[in-house]
Amino acid sequence: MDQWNELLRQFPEGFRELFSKVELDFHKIREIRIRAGRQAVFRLGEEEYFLLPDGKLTRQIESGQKFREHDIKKLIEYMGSYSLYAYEEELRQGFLTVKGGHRVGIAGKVVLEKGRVKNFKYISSVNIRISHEIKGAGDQTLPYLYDHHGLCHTLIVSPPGCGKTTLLRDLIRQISNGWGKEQGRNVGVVDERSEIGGCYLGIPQNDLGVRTDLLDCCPKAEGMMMLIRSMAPDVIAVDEIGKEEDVQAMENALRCGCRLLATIHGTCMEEIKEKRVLASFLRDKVFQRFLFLDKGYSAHGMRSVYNSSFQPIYERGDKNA
Amino acid sequence: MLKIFGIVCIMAGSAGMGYLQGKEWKGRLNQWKIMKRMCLLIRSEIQYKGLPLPEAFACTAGKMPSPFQEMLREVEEKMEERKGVHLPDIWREAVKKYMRKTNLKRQEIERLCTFGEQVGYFDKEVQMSAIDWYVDELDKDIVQNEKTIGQKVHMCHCLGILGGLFLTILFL
Repeated sequence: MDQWNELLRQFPEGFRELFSKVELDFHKIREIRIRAGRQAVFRLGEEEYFLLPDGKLTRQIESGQKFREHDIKKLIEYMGSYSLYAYEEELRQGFLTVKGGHRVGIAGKVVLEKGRVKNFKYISSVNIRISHEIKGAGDQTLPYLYDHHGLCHTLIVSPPGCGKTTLLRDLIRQISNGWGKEQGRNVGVVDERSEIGGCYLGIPQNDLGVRTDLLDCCPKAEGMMMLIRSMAPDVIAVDEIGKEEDVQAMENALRCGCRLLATIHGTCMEEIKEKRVLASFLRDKVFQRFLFLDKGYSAHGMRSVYNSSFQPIYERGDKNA
Repeated sequence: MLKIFGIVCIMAGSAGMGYLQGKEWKGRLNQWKIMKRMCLLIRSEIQYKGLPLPEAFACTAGKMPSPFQEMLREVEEKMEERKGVHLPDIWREAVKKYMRKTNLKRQEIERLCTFGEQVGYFDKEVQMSAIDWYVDELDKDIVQNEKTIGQKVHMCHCLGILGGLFLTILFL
């Protein structure tokens, strides 16, 4: 409940009185969606609920509490401490991060400048994605990511919403702090969308370990090169690779002797093999571990682990095992 | 002897009142200039450091005299407390609380209250333009008052002395 109360501090008067009446399990809450002229939606786990004017949650959409565009404007202004100019770079990407590492996605009418999104003119939707830091999410995964040389170059693969970032965050923390008999390593993190560290005004809101250096809101390719040049990391961690330049920067990191820890969208080994952007890495067998996640699996979604020859070294067939 | 003493007292009191009134005029002009400096400092914290408002207020507070310093600190603290209150309301409350201690008149305090409504824009350029507009308006008044302040102060001094003379003649 403390975390819920802490989150409520991000809401201005009007929202706060209503939301404080909501009784929920904070660990279950994933999102709060507020759209102009539409019913507010609370997503708890996989279930959707609508907010009643008395603060109770219902599944009946008709009776849900609606918010006006003006309310949304006030909400965003308050969440951004009336300093939205300070979030210009984040807003360009369609979100801002608030204290606690929670991410506020926004949609509406954008302002373009030279064909690029410059800012928002009107905001019609807000999606507050609640950050859940799960310490220990990587406990069962970590032993599979090491061989006799130490940490393997690892690619975490999963569809959206399966806990890639949560797992990556905990792996970073444990690799940085050291775990079991493994000594702590310097980890460089490029957090392009402020999802790993959940930075609020440059300060990570999530625990990424004592030996972690974080570049927040920095393009991955550029960030990796900056880290290599300036921080000499042992391990470089990036979320959601997918561009040609990301892979090029990872190649540079390899040449500098860094271990790689990356995530990518995907569902199975076949799909990964078909990704053109990864072709050179797969051909050269750069990744020594492929970790596949899926909803419904225990150990924070870990379904299977493959080695560099694409052979499974861990596989769980039973979803609810 | 007693009469002379009375005359001296009346003249000194009256001239003193004139002097204080003149000093108040100078004080008001000085406070307008401090207000302008405050706005410009906040603007530069935004422009060059890209600081969010609570931090910009805190940085500016350190460079301001009392009671502007206390006012900015209170606004910053209340923003950081995040009790759900909107910035224009926090700003207005702090301005009314601290500016009572200055020579500013009610409408001038009211104008400073509106500064809280000039912030919160999405775009840095728009935000700075809004502050610039506010500073320009303030500047117009400062320039106009600077032109006439000498005359006003002189008039206050003269009226003080003349008022004393008038009272002396009346009592004699």
